[in-house]
Amino acid sequence: MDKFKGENFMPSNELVEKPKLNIFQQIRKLFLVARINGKKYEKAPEYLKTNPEVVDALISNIPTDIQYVRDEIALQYLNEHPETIKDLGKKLQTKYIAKNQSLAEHLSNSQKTEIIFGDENYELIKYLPKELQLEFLTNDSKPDTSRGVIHISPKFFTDKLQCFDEDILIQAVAKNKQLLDMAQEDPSFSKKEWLKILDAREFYEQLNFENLPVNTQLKLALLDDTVVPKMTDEAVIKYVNNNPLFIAILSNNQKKLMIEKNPQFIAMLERPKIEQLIPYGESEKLSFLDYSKKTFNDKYLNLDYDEVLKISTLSNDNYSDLWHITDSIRDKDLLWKISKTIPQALFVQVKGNKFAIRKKIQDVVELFNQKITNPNILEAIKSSRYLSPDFEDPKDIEVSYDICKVLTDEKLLATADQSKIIEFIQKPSIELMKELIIQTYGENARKVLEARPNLGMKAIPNLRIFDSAIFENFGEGVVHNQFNYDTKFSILLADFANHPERIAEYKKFERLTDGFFINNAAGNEEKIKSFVKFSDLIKTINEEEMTPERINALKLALLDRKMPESKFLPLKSIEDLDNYTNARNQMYDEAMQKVTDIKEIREILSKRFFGMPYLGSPNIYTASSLALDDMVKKYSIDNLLKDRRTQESELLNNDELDAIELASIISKIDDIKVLRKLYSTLASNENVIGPVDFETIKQKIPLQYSKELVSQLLKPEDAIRRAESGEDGISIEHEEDGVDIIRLNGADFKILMHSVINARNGDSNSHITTTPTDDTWKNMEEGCSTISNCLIEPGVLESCAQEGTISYGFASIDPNLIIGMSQFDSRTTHLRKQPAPNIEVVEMNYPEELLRKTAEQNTAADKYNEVVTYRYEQNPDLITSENNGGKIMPDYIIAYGKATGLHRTRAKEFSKNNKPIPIIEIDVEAYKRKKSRNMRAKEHDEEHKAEPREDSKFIQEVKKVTEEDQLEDR
Amino acid sequence: MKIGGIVMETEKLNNTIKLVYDLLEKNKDNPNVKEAYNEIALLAKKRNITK
Repeated sequence: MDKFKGENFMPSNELVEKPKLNIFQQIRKLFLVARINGKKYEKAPEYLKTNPEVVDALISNIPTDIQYVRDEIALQYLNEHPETIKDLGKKLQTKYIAKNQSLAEHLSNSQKTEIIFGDENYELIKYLPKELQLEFLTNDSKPDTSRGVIHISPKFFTDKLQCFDEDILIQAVAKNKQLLDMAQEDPSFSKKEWLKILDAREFYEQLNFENLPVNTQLKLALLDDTVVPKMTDEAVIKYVNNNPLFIAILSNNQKKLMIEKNPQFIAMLERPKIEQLIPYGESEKLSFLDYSKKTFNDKYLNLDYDEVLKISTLSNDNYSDLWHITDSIRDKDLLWKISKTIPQALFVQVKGNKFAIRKKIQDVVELFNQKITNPNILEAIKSSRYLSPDFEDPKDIEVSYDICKVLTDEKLLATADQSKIIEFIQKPSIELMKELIIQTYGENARKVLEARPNLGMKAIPNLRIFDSAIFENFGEGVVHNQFNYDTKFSILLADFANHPERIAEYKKFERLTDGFFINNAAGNEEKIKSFVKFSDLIKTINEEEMTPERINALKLALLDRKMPESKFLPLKSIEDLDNYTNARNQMYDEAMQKVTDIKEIREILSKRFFGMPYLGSPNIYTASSLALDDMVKKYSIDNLLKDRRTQESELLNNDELDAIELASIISKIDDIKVLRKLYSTLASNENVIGPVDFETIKQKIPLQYSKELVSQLLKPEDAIRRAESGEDGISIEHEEDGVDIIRLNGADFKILMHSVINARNGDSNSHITTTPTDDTWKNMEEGCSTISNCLIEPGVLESCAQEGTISYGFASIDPNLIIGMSQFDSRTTHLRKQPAPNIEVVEMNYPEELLRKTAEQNTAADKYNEVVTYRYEQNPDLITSENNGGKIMPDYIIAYGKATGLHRTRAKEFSKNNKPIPIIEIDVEAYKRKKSRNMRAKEHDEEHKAEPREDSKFIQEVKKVTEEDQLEDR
Repeated sequence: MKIGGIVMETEKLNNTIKLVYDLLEKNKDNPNVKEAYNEIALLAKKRNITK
């Protein structure tokens, strides 16, 4: 045994030099060393007990005699002779290891196991061989101890993870994850290895990170981000690193933690997710968690006009955010300025606390008293029962809002007949309101209002939209659209009417984004919201300084607007714009480095390079919120690319088609490593296509289908020509009352029709009943802004109508009016005045495919397809008072079987150029007979086959060349 | 309706296809990539994009 290096044992912190032994002491030491045992050592004087040679002799002789040595001396000895620990027996081993854990390293494996499992000293696990540690975390084990054999599975260690070597822990988590992934991919493997998989699953579910170092937690999260919800607060804060993209994968408690640190994070959660954060029975707290309301409540005292404009325009709520304004804004000048643009701010909710309602009315009246100088009008306000704090009937108070529209219109107060204003305040009615509007705004307003005889007071959002500045700068169509849809555009228009100098900013925005937004109701809503959102930026932009890079960055930001994470990217100045692309890319890059799930990886890749999510909201489609996966499936991309008509399309050029194909190919990559590599490859290369390149292309795909569909519809003039030319299966009869009856009893046709009176199911979503006039169609204000149509042909007839049904046929509609199509009922939310209805089932396709898939359905009742269209023209230039605010009109009336008197009445009511529109009678029985004959001749399948269903010649040639090359390569 | 305010650069598209092609080519034996590889190979061939 080695001699101790020092003269005497000393505690390491003891600096006192021990005196050397004299000759007598040395002799005594020699005697002691020669015959040493524990008892002799105990009786020895202190100078010998601390002498290294004595201690060495004692422990070398009988290691367990170390128990007679003072602890600090024993530990120093063990420090220099750690292998001695092996020879000490469990009790002493435990004692000294408790004081110096590293001694455990020198135990034999069985000794370690005994202490770890016999004494439950799990801290020592990390001193076990690494293979054994890994075994514990990945397999069932049976360590043998003095207490017997213990059966343990990996889950036993889930709260002892800190006891393992870090590398081993990471390896174990990876191994278990791999097992679970394999089980998910391969059911047969899952069946075979069910016990192992059960262990792995339990291990995963019960992982406890509480005692793990933060860095270890972060390393594990990089391995598998599903463990993030198990992270400690400190670790999760580091992991998220203020990147909003991670909020979704946090546990509810972690979400709360991050929202407390940064309330803006709540913008990343949808309402149901926010509700999950609220304890049961505390739903009233929701409003405090809602970011927009929180911001509003925090800032309302300091809100300026522009901020209110922004909140009210961007909010999806029906002005509800504004109802607190009168209670909150003390500055009456500001409140008046707001009310003149957004009279909704003065709306009085009639439900709730009566005291609060009275207070609100008092505030509103007080505002008028301060701002209106005409004593007669003030007197009328004072005596109006609709503005009385002592109201009796809450319904009266509802009308007060319509009075506010008049009283906040300073032009009207200065222009219109005072007696009429007073009359209106005393007894409001739509007739009087219209009269006041026409008196104030003249002929333009008269035309619009006369074209909409059923318009109610509530449907007029504010009166400033009738201002001449609006007609001059935006046109009559835009004014009509304020009634066609529930749109926040009316707020902007009122703002422009009150501050015409601001119109220039909007026009600038339109120039900067020329061609970017789809020119339909939904696209225009996107446009105005984008303008408002980026109004600060637009103000600072000098168009001459807008380089292509800056234009591109602006368009990228416009695209990103739909992604909640974009709220975290500042964009108020030209400097922000210059930094925008880098900032958004960095956000995605960081997320890509951390997330581990293939769905999340696809999501980030799709957002970064295609400007859209990968997976859309389940069961909800709108063109503006299209996801990449949705695009491939809902736009039938494989079919689109194969079809000759696509390749010959004037709408989509070859580059655009190939870009669509590229996106489709990328969506088929199903490997995490390859997707990651693809991301890094594209991210490190500047010369690649990006979201902005892709935006226009994806807008064109549905239009390509729609154009083809409309081109194939039976036009009245073609039907007449075909009938008059003697074609089989089609004939025409000119009736005495001027109605042309076109009979179809065998000829081919495609008709897009909307049934307004359904013989079997009653009235349709048009809200049109059996009213014997066309008034409801032309002048309807309360019905839907969209229409559900059915595409029929000889093989697909039965489910769309029956005998007695009255259907309107649309043959000459603008293809842009088609919003969606599906071979099933599309389950569209035809909500009243919604610019972009939610469509649950969408599969855009060429008409032959749509019909073929419709015909493929099992039962006759299922053979119903749906083509959703707008009710109004979409190009504002086509919306006029003459066409009832842009309402589309049928080209013919359709009758299954024989036309009735009601069919004829309708045909006359929808006369064009003073001539009734034709009635098309479809002889359903004749087509059934023809179908039976065809089926017998086995022609049915061919009839519904899409043309052409094979690859084009070009594609065939390319395939041939590729196949040849592949053969050569082999 | 006006669509088409943005014109995609052919060179950018070709480069993107080439990058995707090169990557998938290296992984063409991976069954999770095979379909995508076959399709990108056709697309690259159609556009005369070589490895």
